Amino acid sequence: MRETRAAEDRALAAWEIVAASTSALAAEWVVGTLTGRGRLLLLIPVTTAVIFMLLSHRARGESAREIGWGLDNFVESARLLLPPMFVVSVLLVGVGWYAGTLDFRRWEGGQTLMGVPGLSLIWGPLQQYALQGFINRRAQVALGRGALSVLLVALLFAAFHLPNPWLTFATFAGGLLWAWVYQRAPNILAVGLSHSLMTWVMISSVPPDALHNLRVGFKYFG
Amino acid sequence: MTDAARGEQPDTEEGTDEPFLRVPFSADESGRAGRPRKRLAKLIAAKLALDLLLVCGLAVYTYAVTYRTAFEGELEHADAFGVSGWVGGLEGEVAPLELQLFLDGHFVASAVAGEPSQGGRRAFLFRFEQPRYGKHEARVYAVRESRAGARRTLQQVGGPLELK
Repeated sequence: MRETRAAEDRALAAWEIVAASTSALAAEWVVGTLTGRGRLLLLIPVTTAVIFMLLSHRARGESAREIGWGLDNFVESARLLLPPMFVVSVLLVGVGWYAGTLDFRRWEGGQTLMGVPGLSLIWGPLQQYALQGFINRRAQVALGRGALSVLLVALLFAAFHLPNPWLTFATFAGGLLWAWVYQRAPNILAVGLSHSLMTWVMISSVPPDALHNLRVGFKYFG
Repeated sequence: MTDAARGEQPDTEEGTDEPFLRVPFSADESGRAGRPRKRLAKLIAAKLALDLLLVCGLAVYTYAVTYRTAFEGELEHADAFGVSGWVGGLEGEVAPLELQLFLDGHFVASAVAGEPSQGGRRAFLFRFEQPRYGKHEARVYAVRESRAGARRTLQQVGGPLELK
């Protein structure tokens, strides 16, 4: 009986991951493609995904604090994140400097430096909330804590950035790190800020042509 | 720590050296666990159904706005000197109605259809600057604009016709 329920829980968690992922995939591959400039329609999959995740947290009795919205584990999370972030940043800046493409004012083709923190500070934590606060937690229910669930999170994060090759590679690597850190010290703000900072460093260092304006999904071909 | 003990803990991150995640359903063997499970299953089904509705709705909308057949017509004559026929709008009058001629799959010329007759038919005629002798296949397409000109699609008028 207990084993049956555990199996049901794992299956439910897996389906929750599927249900959350379909929104991202629909937004990238269907809505953006069929509606053209009508970006307001993108709010539909985004809203349904957010409502779904909130209701799921409620059904499972997860508090915002448990998920990682707060300062619990922030220092520990930052301690785990800083060394790899430093190494990767040095490598990226070095490559950018060597290739002559280093420009810390570059952000999605022309926004000012002042626009960077605002966008980054919101976008990074939001993405990491969905990825770690929801998908990672469900992956741990489905596959257990450890390498398998970390790999699943990273693979899904990379899949959401297909077919952009650079972003897919970068998000897979970043996904591995952030998922691993979140499982040891769950804190959305720390991994979100790390996401924002690393995105900025990557955009500032990697040649813009390689990143293809950060386009993902069907829009990549447009 | 056992599952039962884990389930009794109000906040799994408090009082532990190592943070771990709450697994509420497995921790509770009583009948109470069944209710949130069912609620969650319904929630997943509703979410996936909404996604399906969104995708299907967008597909139908796109077909209706962009790809639906909007013209009828026919190529009546095609020879080495030109191609002629008629075209009419199925959704009322479209003025001006742009047509494009393709020979063997390659764009040759564009023209605007004539004024509509009483039956709503508009005649069109493409004249070649140089005679096109030999075996060629002609196809004429009507240009259809949608979303206030943001999208332009070509819809074939009638069937293809070989030059005589």
